[in-house]
Amino acid sequence: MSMLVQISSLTKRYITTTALSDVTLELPEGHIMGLLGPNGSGKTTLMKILAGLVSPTLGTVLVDGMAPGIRTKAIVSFLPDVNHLDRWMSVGEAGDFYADFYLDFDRKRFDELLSIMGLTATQKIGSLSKGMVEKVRLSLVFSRRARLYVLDEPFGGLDPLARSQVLDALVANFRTDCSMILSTQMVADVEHFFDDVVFLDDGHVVLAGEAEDLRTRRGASIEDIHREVYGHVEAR
Amino acid sequence: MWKLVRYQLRGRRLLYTIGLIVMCALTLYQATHYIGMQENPGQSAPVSINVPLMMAYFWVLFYVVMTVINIVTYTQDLYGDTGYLVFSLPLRGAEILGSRIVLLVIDTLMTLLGGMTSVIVLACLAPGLAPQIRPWVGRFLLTGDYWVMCLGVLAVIVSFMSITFFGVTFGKTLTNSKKHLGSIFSALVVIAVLWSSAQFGVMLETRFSGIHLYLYPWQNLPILGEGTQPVQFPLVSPLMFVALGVLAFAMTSWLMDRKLNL
Repeated sequence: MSMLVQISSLTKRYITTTALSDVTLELPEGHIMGLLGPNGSGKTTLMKILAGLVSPTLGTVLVDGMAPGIRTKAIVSFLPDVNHLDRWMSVGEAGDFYADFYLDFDRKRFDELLSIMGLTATQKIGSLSKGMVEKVRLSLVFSRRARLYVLDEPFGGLDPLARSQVLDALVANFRTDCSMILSTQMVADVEHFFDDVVFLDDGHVVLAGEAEDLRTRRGASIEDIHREVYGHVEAR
Repeated sequence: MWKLVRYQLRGRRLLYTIGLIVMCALTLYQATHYIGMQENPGQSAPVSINVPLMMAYFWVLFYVVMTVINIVTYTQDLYGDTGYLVFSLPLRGAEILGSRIVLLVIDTLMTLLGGMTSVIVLACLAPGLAPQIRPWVGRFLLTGDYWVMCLGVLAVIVSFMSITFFGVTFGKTLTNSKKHLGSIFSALVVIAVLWSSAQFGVMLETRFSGIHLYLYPWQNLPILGEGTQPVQFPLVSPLMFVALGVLAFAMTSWLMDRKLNL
């Protein structure tokens, strides 16, 4: 099985803090990885490094055999945890923007996803609710036939019905020639999608492995393991 | 790069529309005060020249506002959430930065064309304005030095913006999420580079004063271009500034490609 993501001894330091420390992990093609951890554990930094938005201090990061840069940006579909779309854009213009810059953007799929999510191309981003903006952003990200999807808290701001729509879209659009890294606090809702799970705490990998293997070995669900691993954080 | 320029222009369409409507209103407001004013030898020269000059100042203000917006939106791209949209694109840093420079050139051309249109409208509606300059306008516009000076000014403006973009980017790569610290650091870098380049420019002008490196853009406009000390345009310090701008562009592109921390 070929590895789409290979991270070795990755460290990211800022002037006063160390966001990631000696992180090593791999993600095979066709797998969905859950990236779990409390706030400030380094999840977002790791995802930004994979998206080519943050440069590593030490270590090696390879996406499809390439260091993050222009070539990997063309095959990584990144969803940040904040609204990255300009407020002046309409939903259709946001689609035009993605179609202009990403060769793997499938306009037909985008229109289908908009229809499933109950959105129209003429709606202005600035006039949409937080949940609706989230749906637009997810539609854009899933309309790319990317090799790697990196989703940072994709369910924030979504009501349970919308979350179910998004999860359906996620399953319907997932291909075996791509991989996905997904960070979320709503572990129970998505844990059955995970092939692999990585638990981060304070920039370190504290637990990692195949989801099914972890469940069997520990005799607990990923959500329970999540509670067990971060019990000390909740107790703080 | 051109796609990014098109997208950024689309984002600014409301701003441009408002700006141009305001400038049109100002031109017409000025013109209505002097409609029908004929050449009058009794009219004081300062009044008749100051009206088009004031119009020019308004356009300079328009340009300053657009330039500040250019810097602010670039800063927002680096420090704000929309940066994820731009910097996730499979584009080189030089292309992203280049799109900003193209926008600046578009703003400059728009200001020049707008300013010239304003003056022509004023001249048509108020024929009594600025009689001292009218006979010479066609002649000084034909001066080669004048157009070289225009190109030089544009190059200096672009270089200034490149240095500013470098300061903003450098501040961001060092300080990551600490927005205020990054902004202060960026401002300090820009001030330091501009101050040292000004000092160096003065030194170069003095050093090369023996070599006659000046333009005479106003030589066909007697008010400015004649007399014992005609207005000159120095060449040495702008050339040095342009070299600094090119260096800043290259360094900023490299920082964007290799050292960015959004």
